[in-house]
Amino acid sequence: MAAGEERRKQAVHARISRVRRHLNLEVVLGAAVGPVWVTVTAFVVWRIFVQKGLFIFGPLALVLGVLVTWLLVRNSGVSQARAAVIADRQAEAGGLLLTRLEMPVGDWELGLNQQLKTIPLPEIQLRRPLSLIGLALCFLAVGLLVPRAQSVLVPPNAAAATRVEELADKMQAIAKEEPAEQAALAELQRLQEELADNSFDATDWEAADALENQIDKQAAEASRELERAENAAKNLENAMASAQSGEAEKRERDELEQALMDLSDGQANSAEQAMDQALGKTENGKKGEDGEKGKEGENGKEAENGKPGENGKPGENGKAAENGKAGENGKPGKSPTRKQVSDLRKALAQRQDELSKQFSKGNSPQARRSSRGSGKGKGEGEGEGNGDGESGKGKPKPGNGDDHASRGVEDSAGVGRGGEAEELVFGGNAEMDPDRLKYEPLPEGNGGEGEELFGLRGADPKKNPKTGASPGTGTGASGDQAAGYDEGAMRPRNRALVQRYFDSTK
Amino acid sequence: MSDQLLTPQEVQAAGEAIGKLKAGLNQVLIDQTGVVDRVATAILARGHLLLEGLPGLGKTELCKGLARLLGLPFKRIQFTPDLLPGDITGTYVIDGETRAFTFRPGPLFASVVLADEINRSSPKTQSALLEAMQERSVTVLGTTHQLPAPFFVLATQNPIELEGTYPLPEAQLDRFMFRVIVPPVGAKTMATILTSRFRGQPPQLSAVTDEPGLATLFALVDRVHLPMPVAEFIGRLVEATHPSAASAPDPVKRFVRYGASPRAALALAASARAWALAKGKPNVGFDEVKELAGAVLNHRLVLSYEAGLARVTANDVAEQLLAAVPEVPRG
Repeated sequence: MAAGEERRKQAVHARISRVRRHLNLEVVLGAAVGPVWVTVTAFVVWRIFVQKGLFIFGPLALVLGVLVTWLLVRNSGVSQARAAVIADRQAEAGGLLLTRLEMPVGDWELGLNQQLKTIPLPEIQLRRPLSLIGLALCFLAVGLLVPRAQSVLVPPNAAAATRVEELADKMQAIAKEEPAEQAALAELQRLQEELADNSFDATDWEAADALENQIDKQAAEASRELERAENAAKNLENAMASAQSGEAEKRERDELEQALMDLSDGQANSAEQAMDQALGKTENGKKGEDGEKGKEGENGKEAENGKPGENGKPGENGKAAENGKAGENGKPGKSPTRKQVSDLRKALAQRQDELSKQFSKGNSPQARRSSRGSGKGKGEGEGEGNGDGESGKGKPKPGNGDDHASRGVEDSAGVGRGGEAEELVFGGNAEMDPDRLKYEPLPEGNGGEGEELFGLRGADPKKNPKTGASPGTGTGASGDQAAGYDEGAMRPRNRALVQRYFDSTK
Repeated sequence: MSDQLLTPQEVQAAGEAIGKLKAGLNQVLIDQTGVVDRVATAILARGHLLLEGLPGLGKTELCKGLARLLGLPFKRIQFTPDLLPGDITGTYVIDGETRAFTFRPGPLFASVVLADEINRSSPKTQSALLEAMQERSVTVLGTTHQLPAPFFVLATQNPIELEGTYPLPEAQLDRFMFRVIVPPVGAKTMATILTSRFRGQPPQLSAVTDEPGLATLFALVDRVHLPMPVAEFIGRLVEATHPSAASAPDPVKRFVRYGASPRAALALAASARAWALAKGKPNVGFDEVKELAGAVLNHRLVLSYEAGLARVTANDVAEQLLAAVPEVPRG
């Protein structure tokens, strides 16, 4: 009897539980809308913007969403008592179902069971929560379909990437002039790997700075070598221009060979080989030279006008003879012509320009040096220093042919002087080129003696009319044809100036 | 109360008896089934009844007919301003033969007492009913006299002739199970009355039950089961009548000064049992509670002055209260 009563009671409870589950479905769906949206949004945002640890974050977010939903359902879920009341209403039992839960109803049981069998489930509002959850799932699907941006995959370190790229470019530029050190290459590769792994830290920044300093030093060394070679080529060209006799030709040849040997780092066995090496390294530069060919002939013509003046400089010849000692290995019979030397010098200048351009981005000493070099080739140093800029334009004036050895050489005036105005540089980048302060004694007979002050003779030079250069054919104002002290009367235009400063009528 | 639920046969028997009672009352008060149901329910729940309506609607005849149908002793008290408490409770008088004070019972000593125009007597006299209605006893000169069982007070009052009247105090009102508003009748009803009654005389009624039969009905009413969720609903409903309660709806907070007492909850539960039995149910449901809540609460809610200005009645507040209080709380 008791078992039967318990069984009947369980049957009633089962009916009520069915109603309760039905009601809780609405509660669960309503409570899940918020957590589902939050979870889905967080997952999609994480996938797109964070990406790392997605397989950990995804299940974690899911668990959190389920937990929050469970907490909400627990607080607002339908209890068994509430479900019983609603079931009683749905069955139109008029409180008999509630009574049945508290006490046996005897003869009323049969009618109650009939009512419970046909009990309709209460209406619940599922459309809205289902729609919202469906929208959330659609949003999740769209979020999963959106391709992940690679730039987001690894947070960009733009500054480090720029720095490493800059170092790579510099390293590549240096490699054209001289083989790069394996340690530097390895360090650069390591930095590139660090950048790719997005683990570029402060230590790598310091390593990049050190590597940059190392590259800058190599660049400075290469630039100095190119400058020396260019100077040698220029001296040789000048010497060839001034060489009139066989002795001069020999000296010229020796000087050329010496220059070529300098250019080829002493590895060439002959002047031709040195020439090939020097020109072979600047194939790219040759293309640029073609553009200057037109000027070349014109300037070369003008340069010939300046030859007499160059002969008037004995010091230049002596220097050329001294340099010519190194060219003993060359073959005199196959010495390059002056045209070849000119090409060589231009090629060297162009290579130096290219190197300077590569390192002209920063404020390093090399960058400053390159800035000076750029002013040299373009002749923008006009009016600075010794006024060689006039010659730099290739427009020598008739009376200036004997002023300087560089006169009459196209595009070569103002070498090492002048240039564009530069900003003041402080700190570590403001280091001075040690060669500029290096003391080099002048050759014998060119100054440095006790009675001289670094090449300036104590005695007043006398103008030698015999060795004086012929007037140039330029359009500039006419001046003295030869350097030196003139016993003659001063020109009227200078007289007032001299009288003002020296109180002299001469 | 009993652990055994009423059987269908018991419910059917009670329903038949109640049906006879209501049929008799319907002969007295034509086309007023609502009033008749409330009166029958109040009698089955052993509650007192306050009938309120315009003069001539048959309130007094209803009470007299009820007494005849129940077969119980009936007394009528016409409440007047000079009526004294002793006039209704009874008093001690000297017996001429024994030369001793003997208690002469007043009109209260009847099973069915009609307190006609109850609001026309002074509060002092009205107060004489307090003990009788609640304790079903009368104390005179220190001696308590039990009233006959069952004991019903059926009171009437006129809501429009207020001059020279004394509104019933709240304590007095609380002792009435229902306040039944007797509505005016329509033309068709009046035509029926005109054609069916000679010179307005009520029909001759015979008793449909007697005192033992009424006691049996009372016992069956007591066995009607009140489920706990329904009892909780009654409790929440009465609690919500207090404006200070957190669960009170806005109309209650705005228009009610004082809410219902626990006696109201008891009256609602008892009347719901009786009404459920009258409907042929062995248990009380939410519907019975809702159907009777207005009649139970409408005279127990003390409305504010604002309610009078807004012409909001206690029935309006009770209806809004039923709409605001859920049958079962969330969760």
